[in-house]
Amino acid sequence: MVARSILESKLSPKSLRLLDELLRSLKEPEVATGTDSRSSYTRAEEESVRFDLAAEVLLLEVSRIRAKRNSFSPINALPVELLSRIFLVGARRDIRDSAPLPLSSIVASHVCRRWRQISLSTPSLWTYFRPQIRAEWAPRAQGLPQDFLILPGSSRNCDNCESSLRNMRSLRVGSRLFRYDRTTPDLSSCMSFPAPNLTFLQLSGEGWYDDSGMHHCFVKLPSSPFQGQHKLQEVVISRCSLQWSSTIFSGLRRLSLHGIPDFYMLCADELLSILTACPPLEELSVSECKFMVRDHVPHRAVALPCLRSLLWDTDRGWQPYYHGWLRVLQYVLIPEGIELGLRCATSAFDIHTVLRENHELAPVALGHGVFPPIQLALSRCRHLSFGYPDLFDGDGDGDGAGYNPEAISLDSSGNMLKLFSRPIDVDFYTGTCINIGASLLMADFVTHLPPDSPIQCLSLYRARPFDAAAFIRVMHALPHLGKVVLLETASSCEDEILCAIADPRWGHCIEEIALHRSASSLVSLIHPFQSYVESVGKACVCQVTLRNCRAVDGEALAALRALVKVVRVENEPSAP
Amino acid sequence: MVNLVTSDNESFTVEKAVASRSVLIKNMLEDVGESDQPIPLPNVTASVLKKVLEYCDHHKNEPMPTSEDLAAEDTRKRTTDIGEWDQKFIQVDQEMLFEIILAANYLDIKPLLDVGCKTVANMIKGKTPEEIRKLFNIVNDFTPEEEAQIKKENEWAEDR
Repeated sequence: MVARSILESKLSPKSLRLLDELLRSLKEPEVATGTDSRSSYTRAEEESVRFDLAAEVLLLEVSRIRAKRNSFSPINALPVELLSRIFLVGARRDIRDSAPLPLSSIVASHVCRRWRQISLSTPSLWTYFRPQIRAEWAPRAQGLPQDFLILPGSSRNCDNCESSLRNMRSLRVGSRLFRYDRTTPDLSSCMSFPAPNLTFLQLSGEGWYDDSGMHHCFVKLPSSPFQGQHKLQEVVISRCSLQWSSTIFSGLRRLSLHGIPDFYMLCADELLSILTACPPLEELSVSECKFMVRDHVPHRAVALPCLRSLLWDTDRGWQPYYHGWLRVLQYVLIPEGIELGLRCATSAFDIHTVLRENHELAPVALGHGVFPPIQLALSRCRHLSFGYPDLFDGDGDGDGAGYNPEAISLDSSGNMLKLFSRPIDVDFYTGTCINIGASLLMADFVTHLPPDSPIQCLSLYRARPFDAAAFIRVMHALPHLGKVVLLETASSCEDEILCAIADPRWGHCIEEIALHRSASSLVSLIHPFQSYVESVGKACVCQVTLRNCRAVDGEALAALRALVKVVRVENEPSAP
Repeated sequence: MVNLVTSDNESFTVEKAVASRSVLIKNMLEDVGESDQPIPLPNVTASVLKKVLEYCDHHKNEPMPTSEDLAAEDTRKRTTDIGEWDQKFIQVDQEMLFEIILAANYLDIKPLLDVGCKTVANMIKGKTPEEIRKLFNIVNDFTPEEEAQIKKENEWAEDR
């Protein structure tokens, strides 16, 4: 039996009163059955109601006590505005990822009473709107502009959503072509009403293969989307095509084009027209797109003085003979300080134009504060790489594109520029390249290098013996060269390059040589380095890094350490 | 240099550029002008301020977010990506995490507040309500009426 004093100390007065009432009820004598059935029934009924009420109040008490306990949880030390800010991150993510439900907001509202109270009283958590679920969640947005989603595969019929369509701030439409229904997705029902709050539009499509080939998504827009009444600032078009002259491409601040189907290839002049209509553009992202050049259409230069970011990745797949990306980049002028990422695939023919561009456009652009992207990329380049791609690397180089004759990948990320020559032919038994594409490219590149080139690091990948001479020419043309990297380079090529570095007649400032997966035993490195020390009286370079150079034995390593201040050996474990 | 005094009376002397990552401190410095007077921070303890200053020091050379950036964040997608350094920085126990969020809010350091909120949002992501309760030491305190409503909402969700 629990002492009364303990109960009083542990229970709230309200709970105590309830407990007393329950005990009183239990102590009341039972009515004998059959004596006065009517009054017995009434008393039992009263007792049941009393107990139900007591149970209900008890449960409310339990809930209150648990809520009090929850207030001691560290996360609940956060004030309402911070918890709703956290919930908003999840709500935005659901919208951005086109989730089938506003799941983050729903889950947050199901955790505890406080979280539910906060989430239900934060309308911005409920701006997610899908035509099919409007009845349940839409009212929680309390009239805020909504984020309208039409998911791939679901109906695009928005006939009963006029008020939401007029009040949306973003519209994301996913369109999927069905195998047996090849009708063009028509977005008239969701893009015909004025949408004065609309700032974001995303149109995504999907294609599919069948026996008759690849089928692509072409999205039909109304002739005057949103009756011309919108405030679009950002448009994202992904894996679908549309009428590129549409008025949605006007006055934008952010534009993203991704995977525009080859079948509906965007023309270079069309993209330039879009950019011309968007002078305030701040961010431009183009990936997995090809551009057709219509020679009969005049191209006009577009200056984008507000641009802060240009991410351009057109380095995939088979390259057609017309390289529209180059035409676009020739006519776009961007500010100097922007974030710039360029990855383009081109051909040996185009690289001449690319490099010539660097010289010819420079004086034109000077004084206006805007520059062609390629010129900007080349001026930022500090690390230059030549050579051949890894034919067994599945990431784009080993596939069909890897055998594309004279194709060169120009990769500028950060301050690195890769100019890889695709092999004309390959010895399939050894996996080696049979051509001199890299030599031709290096020989060409060296003629376009400015006299004070800022390049500090020069790499050569998988070079053949005859590539050494051209590489040495490039080395000699770089006054600030401080590091040379040779990866899987043929031994005789490597020897020739190392001898050039150790030639006392060349007063270079190279500090480090890095050899990756070299087949050489290092004997070739030691002899010229020894001669250099004897002739000049100091080490040829300060550091040699050997990464996975298995042929190097201890004796050679000791000899090298006597000639070079730092010798680093980095061996990754061999693959099983 | 700026002298900051925490609620537990510990003093921190930091570069002005570091302290000014806090809009609150920046405004105070602008209002007061050049002064050697310590700035009291009654809502921040020493252990939390140490972490906050570590963040401010790492990001001291980055441009301050403009009001335009903040407005854009509201209307555009709010990404849940956190930088590599920030991710390591915010790997702290829950109590410290929430203290950092509170301090960032009080000191008005929007980027740090964002990192904290995104971290908590990422902890919640993909979890069921029960898993979230377990994670944050919360118990189910719903009344029977609320439970019934939640059950109904779950049925709506399952139908979709």
